[in-house]
Amino acid sequence: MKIWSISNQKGGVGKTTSVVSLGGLLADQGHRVLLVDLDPHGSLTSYFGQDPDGLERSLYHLFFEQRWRNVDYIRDTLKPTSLANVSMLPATTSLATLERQVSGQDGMGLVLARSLAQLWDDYDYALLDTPPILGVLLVNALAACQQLVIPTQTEHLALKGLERMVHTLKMVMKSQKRELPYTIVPTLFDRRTSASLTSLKEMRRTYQGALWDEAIPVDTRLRDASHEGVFPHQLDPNTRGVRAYRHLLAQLCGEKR
Amino acid sequence: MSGNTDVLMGYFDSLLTTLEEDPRKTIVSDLLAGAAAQVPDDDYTPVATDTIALGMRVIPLKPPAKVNGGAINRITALQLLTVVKTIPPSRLKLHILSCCAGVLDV
Repeated sequence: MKIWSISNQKGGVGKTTSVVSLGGLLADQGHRVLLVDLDPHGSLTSYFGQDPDGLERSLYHLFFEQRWRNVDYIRDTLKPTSLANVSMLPATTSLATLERQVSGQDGMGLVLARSLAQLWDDYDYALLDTPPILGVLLVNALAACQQLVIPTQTEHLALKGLERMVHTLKMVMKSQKRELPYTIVPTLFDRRTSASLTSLKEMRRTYQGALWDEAIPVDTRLRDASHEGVFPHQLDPNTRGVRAYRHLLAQLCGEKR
Repeated sequence: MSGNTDVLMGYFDSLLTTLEEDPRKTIVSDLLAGAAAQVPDDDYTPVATDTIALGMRVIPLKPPAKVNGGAINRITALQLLTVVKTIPPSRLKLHILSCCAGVLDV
C-alpha cells in the first residue's frame, strides 16, 4: 500500500478536492483506493453522503480500546463511495475531542499507521485528508504516510500556512528520524489575478525543488462534482481541473518529473 | 532551538514514541514499578547489629561509613525519577529519564 497525506495547516486550500480527484483518478486506473477523513469537520465524509454527526463508527473509535488491532472492526467501519474500488474511512465530529482525550498517552500519533498496516493488502493506495490544524490527527497522518502533498492556494496568506506546514514536517521528520518526500501543489490558480501570479512566483522562488511545475486551476466543475457526490472525472473527464490533477498524478507516481 | 520548537518537539516525541519502542523508558518504568529504592549493601557499613548487655537490641541503621559519591548519585537519580514521573511527556522528560538510566547504569 502506498500512503499519501494531503495536508496544509491552512484551510480552504483544496485538500479534500485533491484527495477526491487523485483518489478517483487512481481508481480509474484500476487501483484499489482507501480515502481517510481525519478532519473533524468531515468534509470528505459529507462529500460521499455520510453524516459526520450521525455515524456510529469512525476513525475516532480506533483510538480507544486498541481497536486499531482489530482488522474486522476497521473493515466494518469503512463506507462505500460512488466507485466500487474506492472505500472511505469516515470522520465523526467527535474527532474534535480527541486531542483532549488522548493527551498524555504516549504513542497516540501511531494509531493510524497501525490501522493502515492491518489493511495493507486490501488497498493499493491510501489518501489521507487532514485537518488544517497542528494536532494529534495531523501528526498521525504525517507519521503514517510515505509521501506528502501540500496543496497551497495561490494567494499571500496561504504562503504563511505553507511555511508552517514545512516547519512542522521538518520537526516530525526529526522526531521520527526519517525523510519524507513532499510536493507543493499550487491550487485555485487564476491567471487573471495578480494575487495568483505573484504568489506563484514567490512559491517558485522559495520552494523551487519541492514545487510542482504546474498548478491546479480554479474550476467550478470540481465544485459541481462535490454537489453530486461523485468523483470529478465521473462528472467530466476532460474538465481543466481533472486534466491538471491527471498531470499531478503522473508526477506523484514518478511517471513525470 | 527556540523554546517554541522545543515544546513542539516534546509533543511530537511523546505522540510518536511508545514504551515498547523506547528501551530507556521501559527500563526506567520498570525501575519505578519496582518502587524499592534499594541501594546496594556494599555502599554502607553497619554500625551495630549486636545486642548489648541490658538485652536491648540495637536497630541497624546502616548510615554510610564514608561519603560515597556513587551512592549519592544513585539516590539522587532515584529521587529525580519519582519527581519526573509526575510531569507530562516531553522532550525534557525523556532527557531526564535517559540521564537517570545512565547514572543507575541500567
